Amino acid sequence: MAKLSKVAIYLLLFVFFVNTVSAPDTVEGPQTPISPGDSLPTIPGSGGEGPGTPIDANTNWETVDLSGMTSDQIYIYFDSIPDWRFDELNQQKLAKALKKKYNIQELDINVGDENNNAEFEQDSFYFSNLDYLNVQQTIINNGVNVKYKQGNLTAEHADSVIKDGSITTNVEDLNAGSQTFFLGKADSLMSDSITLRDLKNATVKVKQQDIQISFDGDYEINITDKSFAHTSFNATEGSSLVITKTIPAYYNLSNGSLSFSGIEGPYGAFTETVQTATNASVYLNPSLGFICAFLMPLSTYAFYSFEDTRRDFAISIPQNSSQFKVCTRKDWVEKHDNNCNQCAIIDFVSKKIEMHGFVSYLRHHIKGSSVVSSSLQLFHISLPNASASFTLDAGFIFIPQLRISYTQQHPEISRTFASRYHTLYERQVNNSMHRFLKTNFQLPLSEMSDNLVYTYTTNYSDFDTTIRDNVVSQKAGSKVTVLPPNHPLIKKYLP
Amino acid sequence: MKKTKAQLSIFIVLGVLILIFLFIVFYYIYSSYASPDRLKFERSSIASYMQACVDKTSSDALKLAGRQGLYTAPKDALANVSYLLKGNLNKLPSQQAIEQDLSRYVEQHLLACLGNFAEFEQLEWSVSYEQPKASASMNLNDVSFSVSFPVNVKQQDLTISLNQFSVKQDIRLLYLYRIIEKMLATLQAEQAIDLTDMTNYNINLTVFPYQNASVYALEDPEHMISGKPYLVMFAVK
Repeated sequence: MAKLSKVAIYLLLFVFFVNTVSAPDTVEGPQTPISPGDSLPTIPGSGGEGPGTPIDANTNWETVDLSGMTSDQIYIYFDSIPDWRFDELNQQKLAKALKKKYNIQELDINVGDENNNAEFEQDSFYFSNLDYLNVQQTIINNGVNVKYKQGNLTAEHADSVIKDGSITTNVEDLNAGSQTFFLGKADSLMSDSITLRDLKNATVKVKQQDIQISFDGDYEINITDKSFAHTSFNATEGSSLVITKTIPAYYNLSNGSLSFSGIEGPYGAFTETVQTATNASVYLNPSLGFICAFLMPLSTYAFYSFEDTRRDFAISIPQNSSQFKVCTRKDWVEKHDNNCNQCAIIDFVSKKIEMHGFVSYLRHHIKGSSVVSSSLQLFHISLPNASASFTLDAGFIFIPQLRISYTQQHPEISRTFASRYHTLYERQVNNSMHRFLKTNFQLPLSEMSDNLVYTYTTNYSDFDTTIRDNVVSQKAGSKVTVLPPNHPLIKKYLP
Repeated sequence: MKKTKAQLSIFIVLGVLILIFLFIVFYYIYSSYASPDRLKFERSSIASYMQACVDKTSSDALKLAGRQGLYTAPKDALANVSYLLKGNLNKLPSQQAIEQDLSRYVEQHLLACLGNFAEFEQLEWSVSYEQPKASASMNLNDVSFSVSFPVNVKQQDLTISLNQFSVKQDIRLLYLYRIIEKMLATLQAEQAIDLTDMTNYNINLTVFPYQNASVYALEDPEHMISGKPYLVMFAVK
């Protein structure tokens, strides 16, 4: 008897199950089962429009098909579930309903217990608060004003967003598509040991091999790459940055600047920057800083010394140049091939800078122990097929020797602004290279700067030009002396 | 006390004697130098006397033209140094103009150097002359002056006639001129000095700023004038 009654119960349950499961085939939107006695719930945020359909609190959500419902109806179903009933099972049911309605392959949702507004349009749904939402592997935790529309997920705020193997925290103004996501503001984005901090107006694409970010505004983000090097990127309108998930990390930047600050540089604390109005890529060592940078025209590598600003310099690629490689040697074990075209080796260890190709070298104007220029100024420019080799003093400030060479003649191969007063340049005259000295005799004494280069020479001439205290001297054939203002020797000629 | 006074008197007397001695010595030297006695009424003596002035005035002309930017009487100058390039206008005088200028200087200053033959008159010689005509010529290694200066010197019924004087100043003015010519062309085109080109010469070039302009001083260490390297200066603005 007991066995029989058990079988009967199971039969009844089976019949009930069969009935309920088969129901969606027959139930269409407007014909959703509704208990006549239930009152019509109000629809927050809907303006009270739409007929709404009272539902039975005991509605079996697994049987509900939202795909044919109006947004109001979907809302009613959603809203009619009491909080206590929003258990895991009901979350799953809601997810299933949303997946079907909006044709989403993968969706998981946890609406939470907070007072919630929701809207469902034909092609979008909205929740004022969500504990959790996972749409096509874009996960929003603690989202506010979350909206899904045609594959795009937006949120006014999310405590975190997980997408494509990255986690972004404290996000404002999220707009996530299938490939990229826009962050109006985010505290951090982490992916594969790479951390980006203080993101603003950034569109991010996280791939297996790199993170790609494009920016829409002027601000700075801080980065820790996979080798734990700390960098910062200054973005402007239209900037973009790609960081590889490799060791060392490669940074590819467009229209922005990337900076690295180190404390163990060859001259103590320093900052290195690669700034580009076009495109540049850099890879770096977490303690030594930039190893090499590949700079397109209108890009600049700059070194700033915290200890002595007279040491600051930059290597800039002029507009009509081509891609230029700048490598630094800050440790004696580092080696770079200097037999190259369109490249520069900055050897802090041997205190030498070699530049080959169309490039400019910038320095501050200095006077005594002070810098007298507000920004780095053009000190030397080498034109195509020319090379310049700078030997620097122990402090990496003055240039005891500068040597120019060239592989192919050009109307002008180089120009060196030895000080504000003297400029030396190499120009072709009758098929041979000539050294010219241009002196700004109009320069007021108060604006004079010290000459940085002491001995200037070329590999195609056998004479040197020396400059000391802005007195140019050359002893080859003739003895040439060019004096600065108020030099005592002037009285010999004009007492 | 008496002893001290006596010593003092001796020193005073000695001092006075020394002064008298020195006066006599200087007077002798001066009078022997200035005395017309050294000028004898001889052709060679008079010619030599006049040649010395041709040498001096031509030398003065070269020194002055050198210091004043190739003009003995500069018109547009900075501290008497002519602008040879001003506002990109090349004002370098032609070789012929420089030669004429040097000639003119000699013509104008030769008589003054001769003191208008005052010494001749002191010696009671009568002098008649025509105005000197000078002709300077800039050569590669020197500057030659040829002065036509007909002079008749009479003592009683003897007459010495002199006519032609010439001198070669060991100054490479043409060499310097050509360097300047090239420098100015470079300055005009480049506002710069061609340091490579300067290796082709053997001069000393000193350039310096002066009152919002620049002054170029070319010295020829191999050719001295009055014991100093010959100097040509010019200004550029």
